[in-house]
Amino acid sequence: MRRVVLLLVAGGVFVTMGAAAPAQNSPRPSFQDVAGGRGANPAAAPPATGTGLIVGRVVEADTNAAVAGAVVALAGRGVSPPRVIVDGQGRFVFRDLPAGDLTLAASKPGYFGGGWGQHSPSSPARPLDLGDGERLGDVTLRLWKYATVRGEITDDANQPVVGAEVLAFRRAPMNGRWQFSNAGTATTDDRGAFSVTDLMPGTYILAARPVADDYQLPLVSMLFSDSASFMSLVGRIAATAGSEPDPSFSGKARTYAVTFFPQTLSPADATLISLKAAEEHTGVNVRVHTVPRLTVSGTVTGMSKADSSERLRLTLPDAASMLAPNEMTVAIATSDNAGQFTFTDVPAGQYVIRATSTPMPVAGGARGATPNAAPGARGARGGPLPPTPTDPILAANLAITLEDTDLHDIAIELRPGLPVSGHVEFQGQSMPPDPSQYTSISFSLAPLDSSPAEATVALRGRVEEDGTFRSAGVVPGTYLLRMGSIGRWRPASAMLAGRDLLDQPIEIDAMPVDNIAVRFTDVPLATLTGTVHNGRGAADAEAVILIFPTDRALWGDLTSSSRRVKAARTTRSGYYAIPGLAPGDYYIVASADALLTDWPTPTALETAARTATRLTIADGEKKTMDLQSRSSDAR
Amino acid sequence: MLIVAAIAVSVHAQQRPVRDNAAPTLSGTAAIAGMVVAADLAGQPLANASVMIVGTENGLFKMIMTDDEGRYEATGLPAGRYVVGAAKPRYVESFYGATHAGRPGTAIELRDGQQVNDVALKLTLGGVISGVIMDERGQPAPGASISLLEYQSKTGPPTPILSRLSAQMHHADNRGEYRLFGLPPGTYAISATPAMPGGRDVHALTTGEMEAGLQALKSPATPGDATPKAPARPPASTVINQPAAAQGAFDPFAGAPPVVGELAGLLGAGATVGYAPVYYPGTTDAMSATQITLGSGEERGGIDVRIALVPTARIDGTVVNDDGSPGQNVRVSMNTMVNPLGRGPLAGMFGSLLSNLGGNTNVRPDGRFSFSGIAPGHYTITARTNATGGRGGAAAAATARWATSEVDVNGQNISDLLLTLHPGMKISGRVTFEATTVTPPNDYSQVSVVTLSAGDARSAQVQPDGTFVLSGLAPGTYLLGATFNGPEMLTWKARAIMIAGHDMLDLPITITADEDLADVAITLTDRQQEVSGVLQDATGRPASQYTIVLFPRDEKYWTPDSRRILVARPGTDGRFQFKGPLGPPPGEYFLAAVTDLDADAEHDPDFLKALVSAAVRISVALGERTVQDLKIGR
Repeated sequence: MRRVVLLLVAGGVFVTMGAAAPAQNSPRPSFQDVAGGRGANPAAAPPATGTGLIVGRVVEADTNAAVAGAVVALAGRGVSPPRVIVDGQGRFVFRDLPAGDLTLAASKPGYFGGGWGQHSPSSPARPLDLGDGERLGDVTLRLWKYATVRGEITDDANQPVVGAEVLAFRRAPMNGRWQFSNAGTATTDDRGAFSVTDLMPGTYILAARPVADDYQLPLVSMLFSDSASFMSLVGRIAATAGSEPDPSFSGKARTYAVTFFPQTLSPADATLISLKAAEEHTGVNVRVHTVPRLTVSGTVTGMSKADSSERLRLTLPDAASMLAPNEMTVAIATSDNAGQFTFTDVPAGQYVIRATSTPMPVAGGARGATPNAAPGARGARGGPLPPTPTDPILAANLAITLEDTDLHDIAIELRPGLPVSGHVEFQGQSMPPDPSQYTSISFSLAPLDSSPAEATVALRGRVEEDGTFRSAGVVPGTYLLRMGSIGRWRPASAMLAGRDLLDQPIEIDAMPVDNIAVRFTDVPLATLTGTVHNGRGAADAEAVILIFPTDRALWGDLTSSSRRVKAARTTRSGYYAIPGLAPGDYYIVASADALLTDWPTPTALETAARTATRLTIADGEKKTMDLQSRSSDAR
Repeated sequence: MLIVAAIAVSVHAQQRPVRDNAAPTLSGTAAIAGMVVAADLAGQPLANASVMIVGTENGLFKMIMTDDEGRYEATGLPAGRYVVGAAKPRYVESFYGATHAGRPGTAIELRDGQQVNDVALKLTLGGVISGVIMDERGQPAPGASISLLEYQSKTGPPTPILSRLSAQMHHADNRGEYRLFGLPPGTYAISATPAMPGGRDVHALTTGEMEAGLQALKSPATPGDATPKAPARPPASTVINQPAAAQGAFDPFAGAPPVVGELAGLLGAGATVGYAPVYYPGTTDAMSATQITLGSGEERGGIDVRIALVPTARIDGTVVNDDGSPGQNVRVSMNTMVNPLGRGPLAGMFGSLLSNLGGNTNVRPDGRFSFSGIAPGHYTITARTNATGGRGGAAAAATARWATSEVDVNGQNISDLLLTLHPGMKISGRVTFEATTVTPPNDYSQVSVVTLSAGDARSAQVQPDGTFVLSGLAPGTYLLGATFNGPEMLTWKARAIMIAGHDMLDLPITITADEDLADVAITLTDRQQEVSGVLQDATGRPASQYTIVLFPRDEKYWTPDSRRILVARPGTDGRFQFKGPLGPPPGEYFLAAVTDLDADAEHDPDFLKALVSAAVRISVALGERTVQDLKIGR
């Protein structure tokens, strides 16, 4: 965690070299290009004009008070008038507008939202479809104030912890389950106090962690006046800083582990903090417990190639669910050619060392089917995709406990992952594709849990000419299977032991997964259209339409990209259209967009189901259904 | 400050050629141990402080943390000279032996097997500056970024430059509050740059425009109807007759800051506004910022900054050749310099971060250019043909042309700025290598010839045959230099820059209009000079509690950031040295010892003048090692 800030050291070098570095004509390049110039470009095309008019107001959503100083931007095809700063009553006007879809949004530091059509903090903005010569006089843009969390970090001697990094993690649905991911950071001041600002409403946990002890320039640069051979010094600093610690420089220094509010090492035991818009949540005080600052080292074996270096992560133990995988990482190490690795400055505690080795993709390799294709890239139209990687992903997880001494000689052995395989079949009216074209059908496995992102290339592949597919060995875990289409044929089901893997994830545990039967159909997915009216019989221009399966067994695994759960918005005439629906029994509801909060978690679906209507959608159906919106109280 | 008269101990300065040191070993048998404590009466040990141990000759670098009792220990050190520093949040970083925080420390001379056990480092609690950033309505301005500025005052009017302590960005929180801590004592300024979505050319609606919009809403709606309307914005080329102009300079900070409607009313239709960096307590002029003098560990609250929208302007102009035809392939840059020439390149680097930059742009085929969103201020607009654009090399460079104009911007658009290109001046000549131990390269194109002037650095690559042409220079004062680009960048240093029989190395040269500078002979050498010695007290023991200043006898070299003015602290053995790539250029010098030295004091000509009478004269010959011991007088 210790590091040296070398930036300004280099600055010193620069100076003594007679300012050689900014060689060309721009001694201060980056700033100038950013700052001005925008208006300097010749206008590409004459701006579109018309007689449309928009007069509106920017308000704070909760109080309806004008937000003075807000800036309103409007843009559309051929229209980009200057941004406008609202007057003291929050008002703005745009004139001479042509018909078309416009984006209109207000912004101000400390606020979020502001887009046209945003009625709740969670609802998305939408385009404003302005008619020819239309004059809108009551456009309201709503801004919400961000929430803030304040508190103090103290250690077990009740002393303020200065310079600690404070992270706020916000709960959000991720692939159908709750996950906390970083939404804001702050650093404690000399009193141990912090404020994490600019937080969206929601549910949070908060953690304090030690930050890198940066040496700033003043100290290092002063060595120069000692006339040291400073260039070699700078080089050595770069070479030795952060490298393996020398036992002869062992301190008995202490630090503290990542600690969650109020004083727990486990995110699962953290106290949840619920934040509303504009809320200032104070008293979020974290007590950290100082522990020895230790070193963990060892050797990793089982690499696919000799003398390749591997990246290892030291993570908090229960990485399974609570936090996004990257945010569980406490330290990162890279093994050397001999497989040796060292984590330095690790607070005592319980961890898991994770290593994942992804083989280089085969494209351009010996197999040579499509030597120039990028891995996972689609072949030429209808052409074959690159071959599926065959080398397995190698992985190892090792739980360790660090008490009060360094751990050395840890042995980690990478083990190959397990493949997923199956075959495809075609059932439909038209002529199925020729088997020679099967190699243009892609498949992929999307990890739902802690697999590191760098492995995704190896998780893609293609169907072979014999109709089978088989992935490279993948790390045990939970995955979504995604199958591509071919021509008019799309995957209709992917059955494994009575489960349709197009709707539910695959659990890969100790055994390879085989015999997945993927059926393709030439019947297109269904489309549902209609108009939404409100309780007074008028077209509801501001409704959200949600459609989701009646089968609650599917709810836990729904993702926002699922073919069985969709959300749509009405246009200003109340019309909606939802394409891409798989056949089945559904709930449908037209509602205010407050329901979109936490969509599509089971809780949100349960709430929506209470006021929903049932409907059945047949394969390939084009169905029309008019709806009445349920509540307008959220507006 | 006490200047100590030092006498030369050895009458004859010894001179030997400088030899490269053998490759250092990085392990050994010596050790340094000690404690880090708070520099207050209680002297409380500081746990978890970072201790940095640096071998100033062998380049060894280690950082260790103190334990719960504030102790640290570094063993296995090779013999050599070491500097020990310590840092901890809230405290001011300090070196062992430093007279006060922020100054160089005393090097510790270690022999093989030697244990130095009581290297105590005292850290002073840093000061605090805090306050609230408010907008023109007195509301908090969340997200405004805060910069800490330090004053450089030894070489001219006190000028705020961005502090090195400001490397980390600070932002006002949701209450507009900020807090900077761990600050060494000193004189500071604070600036706040408000966050504003999208930049500085936001249209400010006038009451009239708003009323017209509301009227249009009420009038009968016929699609395509030509409702009489005030243009939402004037054509770009129109000059607006602005009330602000009639009232004289617009000062957003005079009296109560106007809110947007009033501001727009003051400025007239079509005006744009934005935020510019504001200095405590409320000025956009860096030189008018209120200085904040912070004592050791002092806490200064209430450093509140009131920000305000300022009118921004659009500048349109044309670049023409002297025959009136539109300038082609021209880049136009617009900037303000907070720091005039003389603050040195480092100041320039940091200072430029603060300037209200206009930006830069290429002219259109009709020779026209424009800048928008320009905050009030004094700007220099420079047009220069793109000599480096193509592969033309010397040929293109030879025809580089320039034009410059100064403008005062105060919310009023400037619609027809005319810049007429003139041929740039040229500096040409030849580079030669003077090699002793290193073989010079056959290809001279690794060398660049550089000019430095106020806010501008230009360079030209030397041709393989050693000739060079630096062109497109506007008349003015320049520093000319040469650098070697490549792994041997520290090996080759300019030794002489001969212009008309005078060596102008490290001296300003003046370029006048219509007068090129030819036959400039630049010599690069691989030789380095070294000055070293031992400082003894009156009883003949090594004296380490002093600072040694080496400075040229010739006052014309007493310039800011001169590489001929050097400062060192003697080590525990009393030995001091000036060597390596930062060693002194050859020449005649004074060598003096002082009890203490404020930051940058060595560049103050008055201070140096006072030092002369207490100094020893030495000569530094090319490639020689000069040894000169000093003894503190009575």
